[in-house]
Amino acid sequence: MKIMVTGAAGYIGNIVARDLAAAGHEIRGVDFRPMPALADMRVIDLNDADAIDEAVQGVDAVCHLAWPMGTWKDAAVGDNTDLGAGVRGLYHILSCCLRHGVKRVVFQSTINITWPSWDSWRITEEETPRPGTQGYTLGKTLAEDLCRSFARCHDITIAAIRIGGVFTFEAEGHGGGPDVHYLPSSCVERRDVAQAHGLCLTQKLPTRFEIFHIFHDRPGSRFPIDKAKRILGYEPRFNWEALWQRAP
Amino acid sequence: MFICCSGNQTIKWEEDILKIAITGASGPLGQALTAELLEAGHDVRATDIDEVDVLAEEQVRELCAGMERVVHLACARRRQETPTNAEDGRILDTALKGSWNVMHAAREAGVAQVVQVSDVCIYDGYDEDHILSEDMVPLPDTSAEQQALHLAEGVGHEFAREAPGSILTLRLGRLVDAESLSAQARFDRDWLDMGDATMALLRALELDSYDHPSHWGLYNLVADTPYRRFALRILQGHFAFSPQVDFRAWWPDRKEVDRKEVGG
Repeated sequence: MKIMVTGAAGYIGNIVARDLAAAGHEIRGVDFRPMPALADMRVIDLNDADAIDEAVQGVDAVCHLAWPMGTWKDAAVGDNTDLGAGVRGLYHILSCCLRHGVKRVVFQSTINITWPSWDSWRITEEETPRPGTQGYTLGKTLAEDLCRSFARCHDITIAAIRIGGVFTFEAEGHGGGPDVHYLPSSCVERRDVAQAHGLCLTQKLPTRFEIFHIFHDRPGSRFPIDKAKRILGYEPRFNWEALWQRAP
Repeated sequence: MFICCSGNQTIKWEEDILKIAITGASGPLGQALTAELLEAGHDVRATDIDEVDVLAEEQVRELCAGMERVVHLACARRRQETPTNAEDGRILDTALKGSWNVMHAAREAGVAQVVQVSDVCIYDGYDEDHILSEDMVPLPDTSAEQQALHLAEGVGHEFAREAPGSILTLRLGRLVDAESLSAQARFDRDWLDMGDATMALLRALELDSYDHPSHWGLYNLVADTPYRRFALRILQGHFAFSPQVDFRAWWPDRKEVDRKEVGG
């Protein structure tokens, strides 16, 4: 399968591209920064809809990880790039997918959109997002809703994966490994995120729009990953048990 | 006390003069609303894109400063027949970032209420024979126009959640002016008279609590005809407003009407 990975130069995206390529897929990378490791790499800004249109041509599926990061921490001061490059960017991606016959899309979302519900012990994919007016969470919530509309109206299958804090043990990773003595249930290793992206593109989904929690496996998790295990066959390799045993 | 009249509907203003800012005031609805508000003696700051671009945060901040109400009508219209990426983007940006800018600036400035104008077209996905009401989830198509309206409502919903009662969203039917409407015009059950829309906006501006669990004021408004597919119960109940123009002269065959009435 030829897969377009947006955000392919990013912390998670570069691993998604690498692991999907290792699984035998052909990758077209899209990012506003170059990614030399990828042979087919387009340096595109999410605001450039015509360039996105061209990049979507000739691929079978899209893993959409690109999002205007770097602004969300300052969202309180009034930057709403998330609603522009984020939500409008997704609209262009999905419209281009329809135009060019792409039928499978993975949208990378965040568990943070359910944040006000985190005083509950069991938060499933059914939880109503309460993103508030902060750009990042509001944008991701509206983006999920956009995916839902496209999947309802057209023959396109979209999986939204909600992830949380993404860590890595790989030496070349940005930042260090997590504190293995305390690993919140909303965390996930980035190779497991890559695994989920691959599964979302290849497994049969019950409906054309599905949301999956993608986290590590931990007993007593507030964010159960049962749905991803059951439907996708998702099995996180970097789970709490393994990490605990590595602890000094 | 000020009184506005349109047909036999009367809106009474119990409060003092309100300071009201309007975005998108150069459109037909904006002009009609501005005229009514000025006549009622309100302090109105009516702006269009040349004065206040809702995408320019600084301009929006200045607009909201010192205001008590904001009526947000600004939206981007399609200039070309065939959709282009650039046009879709402009429509979405104006709706999403524009609504966010207006609501954010209004909250910062202590504006008591923002009236957001939307459209009943976002119920597009329901079958023809459904009776629709405010508690049914909208099913917009994936056109930039419908998504812009639907997602902008989502922005309003979140502002209302954070500051209960601060946002009233009024979904209007297809606006037509009954006085200048051609006798040959083909009846549309989603029609709404411009005068009724204007009076509903006046009503919205005097309402200060909403009959909605999240304190988000959300009302559908179309002409009250036997053909309408929207239940006007909440509008006529809590919102206490009844559209006056029923476009009787344009109704199709009367037998058809009776059958619909019997069918409920």
